[in-house]
Amino acid sequence: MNRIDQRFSELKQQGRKALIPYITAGDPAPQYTVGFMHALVDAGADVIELGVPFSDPMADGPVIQKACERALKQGTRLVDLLEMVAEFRQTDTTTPIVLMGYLNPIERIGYEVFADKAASVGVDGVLVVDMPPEEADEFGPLLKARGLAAIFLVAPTTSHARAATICAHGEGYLYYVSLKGVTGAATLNAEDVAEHLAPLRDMTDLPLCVGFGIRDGVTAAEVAKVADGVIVGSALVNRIADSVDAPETIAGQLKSVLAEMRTAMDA
Amino acid sequence: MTVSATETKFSDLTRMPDARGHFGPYGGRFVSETLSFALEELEQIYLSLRDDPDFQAEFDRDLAHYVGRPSPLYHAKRWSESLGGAQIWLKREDLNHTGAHKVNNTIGQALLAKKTGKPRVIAETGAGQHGVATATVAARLGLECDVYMGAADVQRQKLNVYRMRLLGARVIPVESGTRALKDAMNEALRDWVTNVDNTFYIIGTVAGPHP
Repeated sequence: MNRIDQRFSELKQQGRKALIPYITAGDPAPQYTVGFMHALVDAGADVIELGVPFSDPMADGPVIQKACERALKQGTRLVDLLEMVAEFRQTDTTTPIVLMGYLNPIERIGYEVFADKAASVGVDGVLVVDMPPEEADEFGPLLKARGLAAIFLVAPTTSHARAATICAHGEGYLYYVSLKGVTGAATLNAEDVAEHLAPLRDMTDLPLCVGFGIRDGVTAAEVAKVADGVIVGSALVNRIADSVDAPETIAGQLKSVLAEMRTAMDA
Repeated sequence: MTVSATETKFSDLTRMPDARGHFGPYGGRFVSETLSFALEELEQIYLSLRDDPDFQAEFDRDLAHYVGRPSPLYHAKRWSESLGGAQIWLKREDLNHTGAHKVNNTIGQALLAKKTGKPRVIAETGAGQHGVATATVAARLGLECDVYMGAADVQRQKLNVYRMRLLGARVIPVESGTRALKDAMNEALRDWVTNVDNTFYIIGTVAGPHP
């Protein structure tokens, strides 16, 4: 069983919701990323989304754009990121890891080469932001053949017909984008999210995880009431951005942001 | 042999793109799900109006009386002579309203925008000609207009920035990435996914997703 499925089935038995932090690999510099990942697990992360830095992150707001710029400036490449996962796996064999990013870097090293490497270092899922299911004919089967989950986004504006297609292709979990816009945007309405999740429940048994606009324990807890998982990115990356000059303090800060959410969600 | 190969290729081209916007190995819709609604909506509007005689008549009328087409052909005699053989003809797109070919595109897109009833248009621009052409058609139709332009280009092309502002558009300098056209386009796409309910994106660069 894929680690993602394993984790969600455990959570379901415990009656808990998944807490899924996102950080951009290589931000503020590659040598810190693995330490951050362990810190996130210590603070209660159930799944880690590791961002692949990219020069044109079209779906991301300024916070993650800048994180990508910092990581790229430090020379972080996709192959480095795969090595980070391998290093993380030396001491953590259970926490699922999802790579999240854009298609260009993957295409650059080749779909098959990437899928082989990702599977061999212990990646569990791949979310390619700019590869909707219609464009996944070639890459999707390569992931599937290696037991890697292809994770897709659903937006508030996604039509019923498209949502059905996405549910049919999706694996691991569905990433529901809570609001119109880009990552790190301001407000999230939990009632609105609940309304949009209801029809998805009828279409799929996949866990429904919600991202975009979750900034603190309060919003995390609200979303956890209606979803199977809570994805938090910009709120963490903001802490990294604020402390680029004192990188040794970042792991502690990430822990405290995430621990507050964990406590609020489990309360 | 050569001729038939060429013919096959040409007939393939006339069948492109396929239903999903692919041109052989190129094209398609490699975008975030957050954009899919906007693109589907745009495709529907386009398909519904493409063969509409009233729309085409309005478009042709605007091209003739607003843009000033057909643009004249000019035989550059001395240039032809100095190059020693080939006859050089200039198609004077520079005589179009706003001074570039860009308006040929924006006038059609603005008509689409008008049909959607959305009160706001956005655009990305590099040197500024597409921004000027968009600002012009937006002013003509009474649409709010925001133009994204790389901060480096804003510095380089002050005159076009002035023209856009004069036409009532807001020019938004983009500081991210390389502060140039591709970053302006990313920013315009981000605006579009956020404000798709009231905004039409008059894209000016042959770099976007299908349609």
